[in-house]
Parts: sequence; structure tokens; C-alpha cells
Amino acid sequence: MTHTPLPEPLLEALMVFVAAGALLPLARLVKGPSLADRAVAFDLIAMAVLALACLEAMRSGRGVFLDAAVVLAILTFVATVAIAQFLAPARSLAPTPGRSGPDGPRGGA
Amino acid sequence: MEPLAYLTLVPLVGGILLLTIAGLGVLRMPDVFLRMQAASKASSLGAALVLAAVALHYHSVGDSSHAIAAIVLLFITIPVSTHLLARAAYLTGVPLWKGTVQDELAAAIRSGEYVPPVSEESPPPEQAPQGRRPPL
Repeated sequence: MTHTPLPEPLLEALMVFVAAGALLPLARLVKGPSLADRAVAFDLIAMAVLALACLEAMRSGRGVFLDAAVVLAILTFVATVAIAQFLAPARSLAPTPGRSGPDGPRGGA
Repeated sequence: MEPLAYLTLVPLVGGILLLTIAGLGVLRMPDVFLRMQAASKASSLGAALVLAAVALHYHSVGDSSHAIAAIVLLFITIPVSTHLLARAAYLTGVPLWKGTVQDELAAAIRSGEYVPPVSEESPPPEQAPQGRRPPL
């Protein structure tokens, strides 16, 4: 007995609820006017998927899904940092971070 | 089915409700930054509650420690990534909400205290709010 079982239909109903709740940030992902909006919505969808992985871990009793949740948390962080760097690169990435401010090729944003 | 198992339902349902509220905030808030605060705070607490429910659910240390590690990881990374994204959104000229009452970074940029790395071709936000670059 490695876990206390919860009734499976209850967990499945909760999974459906989480998936339906992920539709709200999905709408923002589709219509969000700026890339930052979309990054925020993507972040939130990833959190919903993390909750889904946790619920599946509870439903099936397999701890592997918790590893998936941890990896998902790391990947979300890396993806958000990458988008932020693409939008506005940090000063340390500028070629000449002199006293007069960075002057060099601007970031693609 | 012992009744103690239903104790895990409390953080589970609470966390799921918080995640849904975060989604509602992201959809309904008027501004990137307001959306960001709705998303970051509510979703980090919501995901942490769901993970805490899983940690209560499993009786083995090996599985519960994964959930607790994920909670710690989320509480470290979500503020950092939200801060970075807010900075990037501001510097790329995403418009602020009309009801914004305070913009301290605009004052710091105007006084030269902070030199933004990418904002040379886009005018400072307080001088020409209409003339800013369109957000990506």
C-alpha cells in the first residue's frame, strides 16, 4: 500500500475540470496582443498540465508522473526565460556594455 | 477507502480552483502586467497546493520528495521568470493600462538612472504614449 486511494471517477472529473480551466489561458494565447501575453498564457497552460500530471500520478499510482511534473516546471522556467531574453536581452549580453550604455546590434525584438 | 484519504481532497480542490481563477485573470485582466500578477501568484500557489496533495497522497518518501522538490522549484522559478518577462514586456513597449497610477521605471529611464538596453529606437513611454512601437 503505497498510497491512499481516491475514487477514480472523482479524479477523472477533476482532470476534466483542470483541462477545461486551461481553455481560459488558451483563449489568451490565441488573441493576446503581445508576445508577453502569449508567454504568460503559455506559462499558465503549463501549470495546468503540471496539475494534470499530478492528478494522473494520483489516479494511476505511478510516481513517474511526478518526475514529469518536475521536468515540466523546469522546462517552463527555461522557456519563459528564453522568451524574455528574446524580447529584451540583458545588458550582459550586449557587445559593449560601456559607461555610455550599450551600443551594438539591437536584439531582434 | 479510509476516510483519511479525503483529507488530500482539500489542497487538491483548492489548488485546482486557484489555477482556474488564474486562468480567468489571464483572460480578463486589461494589461500584460496585471495578467502577469494574476497568473504568477495564483498559479504558483495553485500548483503548489496540487503538488502538496500528491505529497500527502503517497506514503513513500521517494515519491513525496519529488512533489516537495517541485514545490520548492516552482517557488524559486516563477517569481524570477515573471520578473524577467515583465521587464521584457515593459522594454519592448507593451502599452500600460489606462488606469495605471504609477510608473517608476519611466521616471528612472527619464532621469538616466536606468539605461534600457533595447529602447533607443522607441521613445520613452511618458513622452509619446501613442508613438511607441507596436507590441510584438
